Amino acid sequence: MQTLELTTLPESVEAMRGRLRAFLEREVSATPAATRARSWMRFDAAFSRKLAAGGWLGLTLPKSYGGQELGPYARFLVSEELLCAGAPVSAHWIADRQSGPLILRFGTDAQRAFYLPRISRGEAFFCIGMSEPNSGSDLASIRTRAVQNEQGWTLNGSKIWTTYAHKAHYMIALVRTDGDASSRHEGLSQFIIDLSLPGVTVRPIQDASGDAHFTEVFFDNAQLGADALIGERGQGWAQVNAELAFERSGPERIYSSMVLVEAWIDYLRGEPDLHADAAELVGELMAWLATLRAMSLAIAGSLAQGGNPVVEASLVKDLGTELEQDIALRIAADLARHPDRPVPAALLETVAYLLQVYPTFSLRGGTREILRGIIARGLGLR
Amino acid sequence: MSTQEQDDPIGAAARRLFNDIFDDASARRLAPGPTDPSLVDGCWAQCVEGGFVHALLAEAQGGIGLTLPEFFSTALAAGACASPLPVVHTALFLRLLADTGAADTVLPEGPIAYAERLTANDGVMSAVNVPWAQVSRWALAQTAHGVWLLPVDQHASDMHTLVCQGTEPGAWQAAGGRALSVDADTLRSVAAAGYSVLLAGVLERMLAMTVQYAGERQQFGKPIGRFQAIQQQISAMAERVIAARMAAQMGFTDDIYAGRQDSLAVAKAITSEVVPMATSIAHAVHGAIGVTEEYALQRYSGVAHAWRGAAGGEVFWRRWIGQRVLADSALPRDFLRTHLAGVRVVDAA
Repeated sequence: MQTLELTTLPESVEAMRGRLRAFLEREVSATPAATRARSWMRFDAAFSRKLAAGGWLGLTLPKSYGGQELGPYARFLVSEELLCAGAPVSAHWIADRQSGPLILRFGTDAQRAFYLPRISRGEAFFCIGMSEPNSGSDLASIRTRAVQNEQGWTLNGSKIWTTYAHKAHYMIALVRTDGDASSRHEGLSQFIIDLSLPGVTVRPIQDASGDAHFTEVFFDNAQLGADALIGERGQGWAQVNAELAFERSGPERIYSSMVLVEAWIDYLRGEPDLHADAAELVGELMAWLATLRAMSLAIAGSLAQGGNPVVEASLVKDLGTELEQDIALRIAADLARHPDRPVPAALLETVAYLLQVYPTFSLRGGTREILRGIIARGLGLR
Repeated sequence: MSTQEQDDPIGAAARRLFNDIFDDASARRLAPGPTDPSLVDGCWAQCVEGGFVHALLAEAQGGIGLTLPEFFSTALAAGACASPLPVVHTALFLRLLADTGAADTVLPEGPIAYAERLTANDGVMSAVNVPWAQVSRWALAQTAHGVWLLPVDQHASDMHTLVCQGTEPGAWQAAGGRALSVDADTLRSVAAAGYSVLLAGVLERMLAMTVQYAGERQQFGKPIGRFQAIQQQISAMAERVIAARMAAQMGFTDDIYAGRQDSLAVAKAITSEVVPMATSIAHAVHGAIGVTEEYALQRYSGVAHAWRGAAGGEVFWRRWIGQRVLADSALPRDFLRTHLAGVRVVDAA
């Protein structure tokens, strides 16, 4: 395991903050807090296209593919601003964070030329096809299968807990091409699936808050072209792990509850007689946010230097999601400290929303137990 | 020479010296317990000789002019050896004395302990729960008459209580003490910054011991580290130990001498908070051997608990941060970046 060293955003990157902040003030600040708290679970294609027009998409993609070629630090800053503002980023989030970099790294020239400019323009939205009804943490047990034929590949099976498959254009899915379930990590491959193809059915799943971002996706003899395969046949496991490192390393693993933190502190600032009771919790949460931000930034620094901080990203994600969950649970407790004091409805709605969804924070992108297993391997225990 | 040594020759030299002079046997004789003056003097002379005690002083003052970030790896190495002498704090305080004293100030010789507050009891000044009370020649403390540097009465002090003779400025002056023009908050912050890095170092050492032990100790026919229940606990410990190191690094900045203490508050709040969980897991994995006198773990966890409380524990520093945030008008996201981060930020927002 490498040491996480204190790092700072380059001035050239920090200089991006002002214009983006002003844009977000115009676009997002009037939205109620409980809505903004949905953060990277809120889908708004028009907003994503405005971000693209402003030059805030495709941040890590080369200019030749319409990207900004700015690297991990710029992505950190833009993500931080978007998440803290509670901007509706879900439409482009997956493509920008992991599908784009995956296609850049493993795709053919033709695949890059087709997908990357569309991602940079906010015209191609992606979702992730990993979990299946009987394959959650045990990802290598997936059964969805692609069989090669004259036109390319026939796909059969299903994926579940896929975020926004009903609104995305493409899914990058991990499926079996060779061997059987006993082959485990061997014989898996990744495909880019056009979700408008015949034989692909998407069914949204309503969650506890009434939102429907999860979906179930069925493949019934869906015919894929030969160029749907991304990367190498049989190398899906290694590719998916590289992808998960992108997925786990970002600031979205610390800021999911930031809208609530800001709404709560804003409320407290107007109620000085509550400070004596609340200050300790404010300080505790802010101290952890500052520390995790520094750790997340150190990972961006490692990525910027060409590192592959898989274990480090796992530990930041595990600590970060615990903090995000703690924020919701403990602010709820703080607001109930004085039952005789009315709390603003907008703040209560924001807490109520987070209390319904917080359990997912430590599930998405790898459960707590899986992450701690990765860390244990990094420590040499397994 | 490894790349790490080439990149950081001072830290590498510190690791070598501290591992050598603060080994298990000498550490056990140094603290806690009855002190051996010649051993203290001998070890201290080597720390001075190595340049570590005066590292933060300008060259004109006999130092090497390190910044705090440049001194970080040395402080971490001291923590990793449970630092039985106050090398880091003395270095930090000498810089404070040099910065605040007159140009011709003669700097004190010998170890300096931070005593928070000395109060008059039975004709002497005393304070309890002072790390290095028995091995320090000087105490730096708040008193009813401001901040003073006072000679420690080593015969009257024990491992829990630090004692200085005299109860008023006239007697202190006569004994060689001096009043300092330092405010108590700055003094506490400098002390807390030192404890944060020492904590990060000792926590890293305890993690390394725990990982090693889990790989060696066999039960049910295999190393206990192969059991998921153990792996999950050690991983949780590792996460917090790595967070503690990051927080300590954020707080170890020269800004503490200029009264900017926000990132230091984060450092002490986090490093202190991590102590209970990390020590509990380390001891749980080690089993009963961990609390025996012959085994070093209890020495590391013992100093970790002492340093956790010294110069303010996590509750003190959380409140400190919370009150600063609540009294401010900046968006919390900006307060994080510009005040708590521990690195200078060009605020373009």
